[in-house]
Order: sequence, then C-alpha cells, then structure tokens
Amino acid sequence: MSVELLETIKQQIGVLNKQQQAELSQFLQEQMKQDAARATAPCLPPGDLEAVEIRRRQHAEWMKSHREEYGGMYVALDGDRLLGTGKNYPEAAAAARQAAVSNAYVDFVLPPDYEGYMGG
Amino acid sequence: MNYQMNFSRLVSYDAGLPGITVDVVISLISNSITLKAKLDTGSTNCTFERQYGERLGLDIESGERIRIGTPTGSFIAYRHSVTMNVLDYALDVGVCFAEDASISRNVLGRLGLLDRVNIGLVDYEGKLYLSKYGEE
Repeated sequence: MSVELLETIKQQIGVLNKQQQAELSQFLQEQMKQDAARATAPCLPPGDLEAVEIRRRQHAEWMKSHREEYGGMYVALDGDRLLGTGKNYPEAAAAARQAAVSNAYVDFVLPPDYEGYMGG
Repeated sequence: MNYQMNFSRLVSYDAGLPGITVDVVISLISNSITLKAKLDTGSTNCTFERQYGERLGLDIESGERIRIGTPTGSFIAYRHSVTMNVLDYALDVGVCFAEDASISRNVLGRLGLLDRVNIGLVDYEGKLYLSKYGEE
C-alpha cells in the first residue's frame, strides 16, 4: 500500500463518528487476530499436510462407523488403528501411551442414540 | 475439611462480558479461524456456528449427525475432528457445527475440553486456573 493511500484512509477515518471508529477498530483487531492465527498455524511441507489430512479423515471415519460398537467409550486411535479404550479420557490416553503412540487421537465415541445438550 | 488442587496455567478473561468468553482457534491443516466462545459446563459438546466450519472448508453434513437439546427445543449439528487451540492448549478433538446457519451460539462444553482439563474458576477476578489432566 502506498503512503498516499494510507494517509487518505487515515483522513477518511477522521470523518467517521466515534461508534464507526470503534467498529473499524474492532474489525482491524479481528483481522490482526486472524492473521496471527494463520501465522501460527502448523506450516508443514505438502506431503506432510496430506498425511495429516489423511489421518484426520481416518479418525473421523472410524468414529462415525464404530458408534454401535464403542459408543459411550473413549478410544485412542492411530489413523484407523484402535490403540485402546477407556471409560474416560485419561484411561484412553494411557492406552495410547502404552502403545507408544505420542500423537494418538483420543476422543469420546458418540452412542448411536446420542443426544447432546446445550444450556440456556 | 479443606481441599487443594494445583494448576499449571492461569488464563485471564474479561469478567465484564456476559458469560466466560475466551478466544478459540479452530484449524484444519493450514486453515485457521479465530472466534469467541463461552465456557459452558452445562453443554455436552463444543458447538460452533455453521459459518466457522464452512470457512474451514468442511462439508458440514459429512460429519457425525447429532441432535442437541436446548431449554427451548433442539437442533441438528454435525461433529468433525479439528485442532482446537483454546486456553493455551492445542487439542485434536471432535467439535460440532450447527446445521442451521441462523444458530449463533459458540460454546465450549464437556466433550473435547472439560473432559480433559481441570479448571478452577474465580469469576469475580476473571481468572481460570488450568491443568491438562495428568499434567504436573
């Protein structure tokens, strides 16, 4: 952006009322946060990105297709491989540690008839 | 009798806002979205607006379909696995995105967050004390 354009924008901001300036300030802060988030996102080579995405899809597919069998339990997964189960997060995480998998996916399997709840 | 818990982290939040509102970054590969969500011990799941899932590039309806009850009815949401950065933790978890684009609530519930961290709350100071379960 040229210095002239920046100065023009600054002058235009001066014309805005206080509420509009506050809205603009909020917008810029949100933009900066988004940029910071993008900057801190894991930057992996294309091959690794693909591997991460494949693993994520394997986890998602496994969780979706094993609700009958493992619903209500926590599971530890390495891709589409089940490492262990537990009745809570620490138990399943311990199963992953026992299998010596450091980046295992540990989560709760939703039972087939699961209904969540969101408070008021 | 007195009870003691130890925490490894302290996160401040704005006690002036309605609800305990914290920044959340959800990401998928190299695509990230920052949003504000309310910590909600009364919610079973971490549930976000549909637009955030779409902005991540997710096909919302391809996730696990679940019904989420509320005090006034219920709505459909779809669970997807993402990386969620919240309260200084990076968690690979299943989070839900509302099917209905008009639902504008973003909450951090039990599954995916509260089931794996210990939390101490001092609301009048806007302080959350945290430890991941098992963390020294």
